[in-house]
Amino acid sequence: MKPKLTIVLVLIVITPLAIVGWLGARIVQDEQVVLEHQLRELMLGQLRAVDTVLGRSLERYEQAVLDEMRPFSLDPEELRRRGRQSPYVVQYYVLDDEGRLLFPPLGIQAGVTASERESLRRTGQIWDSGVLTGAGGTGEGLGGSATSRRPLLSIAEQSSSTLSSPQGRPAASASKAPAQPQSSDTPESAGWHVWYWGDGIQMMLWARDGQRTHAAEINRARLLADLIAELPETDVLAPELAEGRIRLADSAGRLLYQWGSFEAGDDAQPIASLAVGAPLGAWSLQYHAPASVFGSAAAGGFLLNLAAAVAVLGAAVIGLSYYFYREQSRDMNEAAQRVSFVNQVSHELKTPLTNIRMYAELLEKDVDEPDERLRRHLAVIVSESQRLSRLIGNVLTFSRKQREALELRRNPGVVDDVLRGVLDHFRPALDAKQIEVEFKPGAGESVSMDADAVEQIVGNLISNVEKYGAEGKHMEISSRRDGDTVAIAVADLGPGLPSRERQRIFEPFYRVSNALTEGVSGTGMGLAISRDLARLHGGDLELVPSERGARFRVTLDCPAVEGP
Amino acid sequence: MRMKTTFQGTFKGCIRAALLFALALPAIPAAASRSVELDVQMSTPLVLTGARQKAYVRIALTGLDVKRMRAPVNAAIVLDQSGSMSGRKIEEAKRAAIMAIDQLRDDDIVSVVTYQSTVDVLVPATKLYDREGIRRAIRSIRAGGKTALFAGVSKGARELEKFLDRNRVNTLLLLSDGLANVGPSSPGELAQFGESLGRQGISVTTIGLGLQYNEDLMTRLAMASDGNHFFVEDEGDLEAAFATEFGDVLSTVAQGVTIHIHCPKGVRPVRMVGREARISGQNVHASLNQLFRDQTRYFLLEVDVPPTSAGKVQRVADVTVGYHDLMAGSQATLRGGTSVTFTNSATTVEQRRNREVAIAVARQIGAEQNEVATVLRDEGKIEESREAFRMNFAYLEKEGNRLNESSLKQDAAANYKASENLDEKGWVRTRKQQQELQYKTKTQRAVIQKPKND
Repeated sequence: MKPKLTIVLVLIVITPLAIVGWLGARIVQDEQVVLEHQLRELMLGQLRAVDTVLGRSLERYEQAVLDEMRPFSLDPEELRRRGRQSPYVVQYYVLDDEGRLLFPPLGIQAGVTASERESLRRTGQIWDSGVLTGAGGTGEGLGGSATSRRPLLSIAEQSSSTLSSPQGRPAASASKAPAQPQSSDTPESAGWHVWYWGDGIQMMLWARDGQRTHAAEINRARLLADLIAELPETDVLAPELAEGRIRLADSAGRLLYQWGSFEAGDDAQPIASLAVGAPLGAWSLQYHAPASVFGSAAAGGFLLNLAAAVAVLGAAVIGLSYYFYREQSRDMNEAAQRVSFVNQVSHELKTPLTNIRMYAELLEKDVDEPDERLRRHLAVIVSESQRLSRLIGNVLTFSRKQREALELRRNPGVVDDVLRGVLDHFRPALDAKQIEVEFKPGAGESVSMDADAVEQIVGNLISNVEKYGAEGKHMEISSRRDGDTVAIAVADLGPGLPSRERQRIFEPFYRVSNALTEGVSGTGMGLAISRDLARLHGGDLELVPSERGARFRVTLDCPAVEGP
Repeated sequence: MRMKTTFQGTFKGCIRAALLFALALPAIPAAASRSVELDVQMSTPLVLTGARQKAYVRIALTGLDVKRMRAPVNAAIVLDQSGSMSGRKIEEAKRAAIMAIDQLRDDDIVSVVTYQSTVDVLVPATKLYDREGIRRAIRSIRAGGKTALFAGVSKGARELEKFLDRNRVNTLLLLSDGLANVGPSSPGELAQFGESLGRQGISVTTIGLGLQYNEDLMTRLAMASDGNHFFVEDEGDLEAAFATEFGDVLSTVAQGVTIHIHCPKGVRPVRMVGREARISGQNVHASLNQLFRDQTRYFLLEVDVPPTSAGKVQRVADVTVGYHDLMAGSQATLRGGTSVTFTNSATTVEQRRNREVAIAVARQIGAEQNEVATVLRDEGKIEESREAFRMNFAYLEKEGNRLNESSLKQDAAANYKASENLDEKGWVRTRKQQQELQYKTKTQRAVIQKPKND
């Protein structure tokens, strides 16, 4: 009983915890997915903010360079002077409406500087393609939009065949809205042109002034330096980005700049990345963070709550279980106390009862023959005291079994003698109910057995016949010995037992509830104790199917012994 | 907004026009308050008639000691704190930086930027009222990580831009001991960036520490912005390098120097020896960022003079120099020029040869030949390179003896030493030494002055 209860209690505790834990794990998993998504969005948001910073810087750059270009000049000396002094521009260019280069002068003319010749080598393809003036006829050039006063937003796509870099990378011309053009009577527009040369992306800012196009080739290193200067630094002690790292990479994936305290590997895959807005569309922003950023966020929030919930639930369930356990234990203790009480009372009753029986039996012998009335009264006393001692015997046996102290005391004896003795005890009671007894002895040899146990078993069975099978007016008791096994059968011709009750009658305190038992007293212990005793004796007690009434068969392991 | 101020900070030279006036006067006598002296000389004031002659014009600018005062400084110190700096190097660098800052006045502006894989603006541009705070910040520097050199210079430049003022000496001091491995790292890109900074009046002085740095990157960045370059092999010499650089910075008398040379028709400007210049027809434009007290820096223009009859005087160059006078706090202009006289006597030509200019020519040519020898060694042609160094040694030795000039002999010795150290092991050091030598020769910038009692 005890270990069973423990298992049940453990299950009661574990099952809900397991269910809650599993559900929690599922929720955490789902949460994780949501969280990852949200974190990615958050990172993308940060990258977008960075992109905005870059965009603004670029706008200021545009404005600064356009300011340098204005007033538009055609004077080579003036353009050269500007080119020598500008920190942002490497070279200025001027084109006429047909896309012909007006400055710097082509060919080996007087006054062409070495750096101008070099710059023409870098930019030759742009002028040949006519992309800035639309004279090349490919795509949507500048010419088409030049008449419009609103800032250019269109991106002039060039086929790579007409505009490909020496490295074979396609060049793209991106026109992005520059700072609002100054109020001027001439229609004016401006934009960026991007191409590849040497170390990577090269940029040109162009502006239309009537028939002419003015262009400024940007000092790429300076532009990058100024963009970097606008981006956050990494303060070791109080970093802005303590848990991550943002990288700016160029079109070839080359790292240009990075900030944030997280040390990402060179080949690390970014968690989120974003292409920089035009005209630096070939560049990308990458957000790197430790893989644990997801885990720690979950652990920080939901996992903690879940753990708390499981803990609270666990405590509640354990408390409840403990309460039930306590209740159960108390009931058990009370029951044990009762049993103990009954046991003690039974012990106390046993001695006086034995005396009553002994003296009643002595008296019975001493009574004269003719005094039939007195003899009858004595027989009742003897019979009832026997019944009472059987009952007490059952109670004591039961309590011994409860204490697991039930044991056999084997002695040599003859089974049939025991059976006769029992029958003698029951004779008055059976006679009173006019039950005819048919005894078929078949075990007359001396065997090793516990005579008290056999007497108790058979007594209980006969008592049941007397109580419930009296209707049949007949009882048959037979014994048979087969090797070491002695079989005793007690059968009546009474109403018998319904089939569904056949097993349950052996359970302790079970009483068949029907008309049969109405008004008959009983403890419900007899059959249970008898079966336990029979099993202890190496055999069994069974209800054997029969045509009429009930037939019990007891088998006992009784090895033969030498001697009388 | 920032961009606007930056543009105002750009020194717009006023060399435009004024050419007509320049023709008339050989040299304008320096006014008493002038802090720069211009000296234009021919290598050969007398030239032979009969054939086109190659000649050199030396345009020398000397900072004068007019007033015992100095201009306020706007300095950015950009320190490498990459992993390779750990140990004594970073400690010496910190010491040197603190020592340099200690030389500054309270109204000077300083900023400190450190770079590794990332960049930290350790001390944003500030006046030196809280010296202890700045020292503490510098002492807190720990080494570790990679080398984001470009980004470090970018941030340092931005700190300088905050207080960019042509009445201040705007200078960025870059220290690196390794290869730039985060961000742009090609010498060309760094040179482009340096050129841009130079145009804004910011000079970048580079200090290469140890034997691992990229000397091409460091010298070209410095050259493009007209800063100085130091090769410091042992970290113990860092303090001396910082001291030398800050000595220059504190003795700056003029900055934003633009030189315009006009050659009259017939005279062809061929090239500027050892320096960047833009030659457009008869006009040559060049610039210097800073001039220092008691120091002479010069340009050497190679010209082609047409043959004329003996006795005739040929104007060769008219020079206009614009600069911002830090002592006067205003823009100033100097004019000068030079001519040659034709003669039939080769001996007179030799006799009248200008020794100072000849020394300059010999040194610059020596530097050019040194560069050629270096390129040969870079290409792995060790023997050819050795031969080139030896020939350069012989040339400089000969010129040194002829002109009786010790600096030429020193250059000769350096070339000889280089020829002896062309093996794999020695070359790493030799190359850095030669690059520094070339640099000093071309720019006439100060070499490290080690304490005498060292």
